[in-house]
Amino acid sequence: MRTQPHRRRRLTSWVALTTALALVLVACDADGPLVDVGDEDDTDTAAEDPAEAPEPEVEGPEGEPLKIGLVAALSGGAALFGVAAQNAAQLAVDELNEAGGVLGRPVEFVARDSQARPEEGVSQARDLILSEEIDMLLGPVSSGVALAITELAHEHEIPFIVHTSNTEALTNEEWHPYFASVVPNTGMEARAQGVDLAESGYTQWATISPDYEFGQRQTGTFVETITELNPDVEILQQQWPELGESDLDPFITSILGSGADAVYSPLFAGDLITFTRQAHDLGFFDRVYWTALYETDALQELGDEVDLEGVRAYSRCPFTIDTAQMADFVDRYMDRYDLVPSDWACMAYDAVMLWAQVVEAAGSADGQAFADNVAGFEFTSLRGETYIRDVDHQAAIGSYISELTWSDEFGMYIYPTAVPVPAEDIWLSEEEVLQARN
Amino acid sequence: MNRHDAARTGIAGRLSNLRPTGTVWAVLALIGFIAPLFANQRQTYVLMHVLVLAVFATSFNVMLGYTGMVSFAHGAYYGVGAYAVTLLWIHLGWPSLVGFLLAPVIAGAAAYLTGLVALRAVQLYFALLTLALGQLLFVVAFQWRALTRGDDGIHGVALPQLLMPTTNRYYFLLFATAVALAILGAVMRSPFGATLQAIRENGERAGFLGIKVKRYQLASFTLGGAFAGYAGAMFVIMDRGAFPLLMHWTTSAEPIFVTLIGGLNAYIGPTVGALIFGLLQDWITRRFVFWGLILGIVLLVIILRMPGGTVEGVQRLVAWIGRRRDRAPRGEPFDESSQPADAAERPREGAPAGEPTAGGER
Amino acid sequence: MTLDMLVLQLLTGLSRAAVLFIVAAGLSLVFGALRIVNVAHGSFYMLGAFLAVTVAAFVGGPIGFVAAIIAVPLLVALIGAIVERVALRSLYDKEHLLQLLATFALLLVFHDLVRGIWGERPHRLTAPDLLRGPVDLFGIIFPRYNLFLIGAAIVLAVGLWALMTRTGFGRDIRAAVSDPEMLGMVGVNVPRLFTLVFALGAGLGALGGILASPRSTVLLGMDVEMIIQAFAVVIIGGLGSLVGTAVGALLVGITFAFGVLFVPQAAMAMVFLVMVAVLVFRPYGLFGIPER
Repeated sequence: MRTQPHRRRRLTSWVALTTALALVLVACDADGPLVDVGDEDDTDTAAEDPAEAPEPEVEGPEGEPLKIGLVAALSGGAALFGVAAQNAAQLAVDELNEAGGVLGRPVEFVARDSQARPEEGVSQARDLILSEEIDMLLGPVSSGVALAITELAHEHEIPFIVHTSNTEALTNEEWHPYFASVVPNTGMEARAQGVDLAESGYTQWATISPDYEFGQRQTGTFVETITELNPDVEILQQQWPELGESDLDPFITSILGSGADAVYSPLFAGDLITFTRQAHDLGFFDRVYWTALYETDALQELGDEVDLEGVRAYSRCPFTIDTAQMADFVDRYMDRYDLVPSDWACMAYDAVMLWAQVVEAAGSADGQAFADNVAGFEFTSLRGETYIRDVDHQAAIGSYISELTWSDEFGMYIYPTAVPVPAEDIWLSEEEVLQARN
Repeated sequence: MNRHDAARTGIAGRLSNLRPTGTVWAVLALIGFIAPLFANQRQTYVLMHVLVLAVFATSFNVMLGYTGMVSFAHGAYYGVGAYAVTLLWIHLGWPSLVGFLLAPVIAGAAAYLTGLVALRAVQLYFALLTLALGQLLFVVAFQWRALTRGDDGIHGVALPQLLMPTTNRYYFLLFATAVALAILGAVMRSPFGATLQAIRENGERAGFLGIKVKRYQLASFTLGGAFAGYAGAMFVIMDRGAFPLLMHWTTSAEPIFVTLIGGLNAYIGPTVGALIFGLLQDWITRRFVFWGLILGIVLLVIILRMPGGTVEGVQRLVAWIGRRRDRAPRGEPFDESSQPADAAERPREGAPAGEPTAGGER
Repeated sequence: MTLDMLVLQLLTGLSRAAVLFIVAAGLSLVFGALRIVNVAHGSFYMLGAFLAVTVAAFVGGPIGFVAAIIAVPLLVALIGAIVERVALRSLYDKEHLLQLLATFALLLVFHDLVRGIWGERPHRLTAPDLLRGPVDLFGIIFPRYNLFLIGAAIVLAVGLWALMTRTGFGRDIRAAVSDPEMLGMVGVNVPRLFTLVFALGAGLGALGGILASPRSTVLLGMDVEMIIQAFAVVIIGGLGSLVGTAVGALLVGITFAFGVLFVPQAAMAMVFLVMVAVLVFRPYGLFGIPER
């Protein structure tokens, strides 16, 4: 086959033309309306907002809208969380608009799917910051994603409030002044359990945790705490299934074979549900003492399938918390979504409200103003009166530990008495936080 | 062949009278140079991604288009390159630019070692072996938390102050792309490149002629792997992070898609494919969630109807227009090649015609 | 560590191997006869699971699961036949790579179709009560459903073996594996045979998806997760060999189960290590034949 040079030349010149066309495409895109298309697709909020916002009795919000962005797992195994956070943040934003907006300006809400993957989270968060020009970034579901994007928020000086992801690295070594947290961090949560279980009578422990930042941190702190408080405690085995592993049998049987008499687990959402079902069929719950992060969503999904009566579980924001704000919120949430609000919904709501209150107090939605005012800020959350600590912008919110009890009213296991272990007992002291940062 | 002389008088003909390859690259370079003036920050990221993809896919085409090998470990070397930069930074505190220079060396070494194993098989089994080896590397990155931080990945790599602004980063990557494409292009035009093509055309015959086929295949694999690592290092400059998914076998599919879309029979194919893939992906995913559906259908159409990709598709179109223009003034009856596809389907010397499109003439 | 526990771990590995075998058998069969590495096999697996959810809900009750097991593989086999006719048929005389890439494109298409039809949320397929709960095997507590899985895989393996060795269809397939041109010459309708084999493979993939579902969650993305493991199985066993597939499935399943027990942090790496080790010594798998 001989070459036909002119044909090659034609080829190349046409390639040049194609490329030029592509450039035009880019250029058009640059001039075109970038912002509107994106958010209308990702959430139905843009369509809803104007309809619901305009005619309140109070003076209607006017001017340039303030934007809240959410990057969360809206698909995949952790989607339960992301969707709950999205629903609650939407509810919060609508309520803010009905009450006249923030600083008299309307609030908009944009949600993006991180697929629970750090790299996707980064790219979505970057897009929200650069092209949506959001004024606040709500934290993601996954701690891995949170670590990946907290750096972005820092770089662009955007307030970043986490409500689900809670690795202690966020409040310690990766902390920055634009950050705030309304969820007890892994350290607080795990120390609360360590304290709670140190004298439980069980000394032969095993752990099973998701193999990423959150699972590693939380399990590490738990083990540290419980072995320090009770020198008799031994950790016989630690398992780290991949996030989203569908076959947990080998892990479960392996733990049963270790001789442990108690098992600690920060598995959550889909993984916890899978674990509970598979463990039940292996007679797991009859043979070991078991404590895990049973939050509302998982309990709702499990219903009465597995007997969990009396399991000492922990949670971050059960809807049975006895405050007037919570009771009221549960009503409004159920009215709108026909579901009891999960932990993630409650905390996402708190995050939006915290931001709105700080911005009102600061008189500005500027990142720096937020950073200056959020430190020491006192506010009313769904979990009662609380405040944001100066050193790490961590809300003084405790961890809820309780024995699960069946509720006919809700058709699921609930936390009957939701009393928290106070934050002050379980968080690192200011000195310890500063030390961790060095 | 006077048909083609006549074509020169048409629009396409006039264009083709310009000096070919140089012109295209000059146009591309010019576009690359001025693009940031029209793009906002986000779009600059998209363009950076296009650059990374162009190098990644071109390095892949060294194997696919030029040597006729399919590897599913290519993503692994891409990831090795990215981790080379981030791990040297995080564990040893080496500046990212030093890592950038070392990345292709480390990735090339990884490709050489795995290539030694994978080349024990040929064709499909070779592809499956690379899949196994690539996944092994992926699992190591995924599970060795102490080294790589596992699933969470490494984020926020420090860059030189000069590279912090997005536009500067873009120009750095543009320069890096130009260097990589120039080197690979020179190698492919060299006797070495010609030998690879001879192996692709007919490995057995090449063997009879005294060419050490496996050795050349290993060299091609190593070269491809090294530049995949280089692309991975470029990714770190863009994204300031690395994570295990970069090494997953599905990442290896990306350069295949890009190459197919652009065309594996021309050196410029993967670059064109990267431009189309990158812009299309951004454009579609921002409007429509079913990117996979659209990509899948586009790929099926290309595979079933247009195995030469965009470059060859455009070429066929030109040939067709040329012939129509040809026909009118001369009044010639349509000759034996009335199929518009016919002319374009013949592979050209100098530009590789991959095995997959072989029209049965070999 | 007691003997009981080792046996339990082995049984767990066996039930993992059971699902792997059913899925990988389809993959291997298709490769053997058609010489196609079908990446979209993962899609049939996922499609089977999602369709089963719908069918089981439609029929309702404990019969729903049974109905799904019978109807869904047939349905997916039909889809497989259509796919083979429309997308793959014209590629047989082309390079293997193009076929592989076409099935990859199909994987993307099916993934988004499933997402469009069933949405992002996880679904659940419930087995009948008869198959649920623990059972006591001489002092070892084991899920009844896992026993059912192991049994199903054995029945299927015997059935496939009989199909391949005792029927004309099986003889034709075996002939296609060794010499397809010859097959056409002796008057076998080769295109029809290929369509049937591809449909059978797709049906097996779907069956694997249905059987795997009651133990876990029916989730978008299960396609990619399974296909890589199924590949590991057939690569170890040797593409096209039924015996090889069974051995590969056992190796992968049991290696993983004991990997979790002895080297918890590197269980999956163990699987790929075994795969690479096998391939270094036998590049065509344990029971594979070198490529023609």
